[in-house]
Amino acid sequence: MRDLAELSLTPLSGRLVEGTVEVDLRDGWLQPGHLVGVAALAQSCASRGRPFRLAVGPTRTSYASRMHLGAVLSQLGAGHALPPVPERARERDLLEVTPLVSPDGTRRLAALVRDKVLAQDPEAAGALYACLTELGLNVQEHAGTTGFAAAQTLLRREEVLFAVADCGRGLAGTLALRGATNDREAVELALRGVSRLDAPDRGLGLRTMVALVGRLGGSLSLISGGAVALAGRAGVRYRESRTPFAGTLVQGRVRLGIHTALPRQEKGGHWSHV
Amino acid sequence: MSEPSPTRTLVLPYLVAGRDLADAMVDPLEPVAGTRFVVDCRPLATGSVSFASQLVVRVLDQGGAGALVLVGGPQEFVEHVCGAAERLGVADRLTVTASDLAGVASA
Repeated sequence: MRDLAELSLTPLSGRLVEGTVEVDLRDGWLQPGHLVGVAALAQSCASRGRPFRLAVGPTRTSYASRMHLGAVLSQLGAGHALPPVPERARERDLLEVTPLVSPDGTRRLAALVRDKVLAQDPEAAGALYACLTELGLNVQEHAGTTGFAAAQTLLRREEVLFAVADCGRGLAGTLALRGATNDREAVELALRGVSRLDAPDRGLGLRTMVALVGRLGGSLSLISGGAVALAGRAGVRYRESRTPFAGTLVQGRVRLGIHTALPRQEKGGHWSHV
Repeated sequence: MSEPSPTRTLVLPYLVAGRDLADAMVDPLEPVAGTRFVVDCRPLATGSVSFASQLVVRVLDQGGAGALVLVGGPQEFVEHVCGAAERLGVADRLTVTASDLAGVASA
């Protein structure tokens, strides 16, 4: 499974087609990050009164529908051709695309995800709760808009993917007063624990999350504007995207089960920036 | 003999996350200045770094409690609290114990 940062970001950029912002997801793989990214873009368009439309290829329709993207887009008044799907057992879909409307709501969603993974891997379940709450509460505190979350289990790979996106101020907007002059600098500052707030001991969430998912053999993809970062065991790799995402998107990948064989002191540590 | 410090006791639930939740839990226990602030972490399964940080900010850094005593709790959460106390320069007023709450409260 490639991380989101390794995938083409082209589908996550809207283009204007006859007055409508259109996102084209007809090519490539879809992961939770794509789904929450589309929901955030649709939310942004709805708040500005701009028409939004999603195009999805036939092979991706089932997954996107199953993850309730169609229902979310319909609620936002966005155009799409995703059919409603009958409710059935969806053990692998830990969390369908869901708006993060309040801090308590975010904690409840994170607890639901945690509970679904708990029996299989208690440590990963705790990490998922911590990551989803940190990301969701960050959106509510800093972005000034509604964010969206989704999570999915990949059973054969024994992995969990989780993602949170918003189209709010973006990292460059929030960290400009800390010296960020572009998206790349803002992403670097965020991953180093720099916060826009002067309050004591801020900016811990993202840095702690990187360490947490790393200990569980996973990684974190962070996309903000035109900057892309992939934080993994080898450190943090950065690159630029030719098609910027108009907001901030984080997708985490956590492996289930592997860390139980590793002693704690061999799992942690801080990652260097490379 | 000086009077013993008044004690405030906060029992954490199963899951805690976010600075707003730490504020909401400490608010009813104000004022905390000069108190021995005991946090029973034994029911806790997972606590986020932001919650831990805000707990230290509210109790020791801004609150001015004489002591913050953690009872039990997951290792990761205890590490979050200890880290916050170190960064904020208040680690000398933090005590971590695995002992029972009654023993701590009466100490």
